[in-house]
Amino acid sequence: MRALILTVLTALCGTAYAQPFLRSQRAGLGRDTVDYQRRIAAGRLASGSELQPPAIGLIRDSAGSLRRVLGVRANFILGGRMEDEVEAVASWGQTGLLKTRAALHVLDATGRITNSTPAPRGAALLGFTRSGGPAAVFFLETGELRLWRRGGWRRQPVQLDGEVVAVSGGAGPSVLLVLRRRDQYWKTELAAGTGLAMREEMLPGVDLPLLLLPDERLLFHDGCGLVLRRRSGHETPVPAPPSIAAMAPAARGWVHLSGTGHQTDLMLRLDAADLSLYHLPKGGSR
Amino acid sequence: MRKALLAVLLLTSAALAQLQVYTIPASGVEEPLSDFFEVSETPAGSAIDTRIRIRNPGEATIPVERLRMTGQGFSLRGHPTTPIFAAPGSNIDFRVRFQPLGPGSYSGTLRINDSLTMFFGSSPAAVSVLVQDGGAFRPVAFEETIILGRVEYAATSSRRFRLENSSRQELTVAQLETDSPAFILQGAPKAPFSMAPGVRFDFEILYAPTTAGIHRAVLLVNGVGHALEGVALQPPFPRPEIRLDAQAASSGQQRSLSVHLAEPSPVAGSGRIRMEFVPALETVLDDPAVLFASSGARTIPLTVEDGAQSALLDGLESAAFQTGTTAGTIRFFVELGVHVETASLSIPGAPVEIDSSNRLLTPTGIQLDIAGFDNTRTVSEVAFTFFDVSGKALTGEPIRLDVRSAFQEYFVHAGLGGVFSLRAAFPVAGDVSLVESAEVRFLNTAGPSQVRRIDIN
Repeated sequence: MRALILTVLTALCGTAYAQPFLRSQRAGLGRDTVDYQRRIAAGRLASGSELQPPAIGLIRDSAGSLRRVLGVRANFILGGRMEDEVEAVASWGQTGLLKTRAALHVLDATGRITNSTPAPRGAALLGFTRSGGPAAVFFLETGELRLWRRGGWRRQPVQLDGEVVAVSGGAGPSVLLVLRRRDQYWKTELAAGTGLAMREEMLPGVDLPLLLLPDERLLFHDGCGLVLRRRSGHETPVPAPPSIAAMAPAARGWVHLSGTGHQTDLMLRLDAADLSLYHLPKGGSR
Repeated sequence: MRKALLAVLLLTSAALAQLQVYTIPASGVEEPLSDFFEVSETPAGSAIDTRIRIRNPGEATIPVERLRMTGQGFSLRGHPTTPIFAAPGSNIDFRVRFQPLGPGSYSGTLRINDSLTMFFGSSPAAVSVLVQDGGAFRPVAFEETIILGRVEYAATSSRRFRLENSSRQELTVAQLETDSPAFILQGAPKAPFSMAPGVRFDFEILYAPTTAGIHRAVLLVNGVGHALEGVALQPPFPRPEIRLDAQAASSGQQRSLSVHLAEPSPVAGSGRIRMEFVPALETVLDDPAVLFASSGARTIPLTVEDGAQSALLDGLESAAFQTGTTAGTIRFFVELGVHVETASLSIPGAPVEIDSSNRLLTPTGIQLDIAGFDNTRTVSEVAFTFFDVSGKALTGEPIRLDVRSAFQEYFVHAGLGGVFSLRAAFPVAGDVSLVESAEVRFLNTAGPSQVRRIDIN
């Protein structure tokens, strides 16, 4: 256990805040104290810390603009318009995917574009890996599937038997699609590279709108209301108004729900221990 | 002196000869005014104006020392007070009004300095319009506006009128009507109808407004108009009351309010609800997250339907709002008609609340991201404790960090209320996988926060 000496260097707020810790360690025991001091000195240079406004995620507002959602739960502040004529946006973990009229962008956690590529016009379905990286995009108008491989988008030829309504990263080098065939929905896992179906399962009791989350939880309308279905099959009703028409991941653990009705801009919190619905205030000018 | 006076008299005499007088008919083309002028036949109770223009075409100023109209039924309108000096090339305009008091022939004289013009007019036999006033009928005066009352717009008021043929001949009433549906004739025969000499009958005009405001109309009797006016007042809305949901107030909440009326509203209408935020901290001016969700602002419209006992807030029965992340008082104002009712919500200072946390393992250590808010904005310390897989604290005492000045500086510049996101990196010398979890606790003036446990491996 002695080997398990954690260098408890606080990286918080720069070196100034390491001082109290230094003092507390100096007041401690002799040999470990020396060891700490040596490691603390090294840690100071390596550490970084910062205080900043909490950013929850990215959404497409009712006017089709890209906006950041700042704040904490139940206390949202909508950021200013970052991009107009947005056709789709989703965010999960440290990554955002943005589809504009003619391009597909990858964004970092601050909303900065880190990768851009031309894209066909029209809406797109955006998918992430479980760890929050870009995974797949499906362009609805052209039926083109692209997968994220080695830092770039690669076109994935695929023969699909059905209408694609959701996309997500799969386990390993695969992609998950939800397909609609007549009135039935199927979750299909395709192998990256070959585009061949590896497995497929029917999704009973499912209807649109539908969202497949990176952890394979499924958010859908069951005919009566929104339902969250976990991989285990356990379902939890979501007390959202029936006018919800679109859903997009806004951040890890957050889904943006929007509709045409009154006050239907909502944020759904999807923690493991928490499923809560909040109003998203209408756009400000920040 | 005598020479000077004579010169003035000569000048005046010469000047008078230079003044020109015209009438200006409806066509607008001036016509020289002769010694006689006949105005159009005018029924009693109405009037006709003749526009007169005096012009000085000469090169010297000419005084107009006398400007008078004599004769019953004739008068001047819009005329200047004499003496007046007509500058070269200038005009002096005014009107001669003929307003007969009854049927018959009339004459009058217009005098401009020493120039005289005879005016003739006549008035045919016509029915007289009288209005009841203080229990008795009196003739409606020319250009009189007859007030029918001030009522709430759903109510009515009325006034009694009389038509009278005081002539010696039978008269026809070809027109008897109002030009507004808010003024309704009641008890009047339908025109055209005849009235024998000496006949009179009474009728009422009912003022029945359907909207609030000032309403004007004209009572038309054989082409003669009499102005009517009524004022419809918005009936008072019942007193509104703001009802807040029953939760205990704190920062970081989305709550709702509704507006109820003391009784069913007798009228439909609109108003608004607005909110104000007064931070408890003198150094804090505002918190931008205190707002209504539906508008993203601090005001939302409010509507009340006829007969409703609650208001619709931006179209819904209740309105969601955020309490922000700053201690203080949120005050609500409902404005409906003459009512301005208030309610307030006190947001007490509280320990730091941690909303979310995340950990990232890097090759050199552990990075913790913690988002939360401090509604007192007085964070002074944050303490971290790391635990190994056996649950034993790795560092003995918690690592306590003095973060006071860093947070103060952040809050000053962030301008987003009390929210913050703290990223702390902890270089680790050793096997990071043996670090099982970490606990975080903040301290502010309201006390220590709840401990947040963050799983690391």
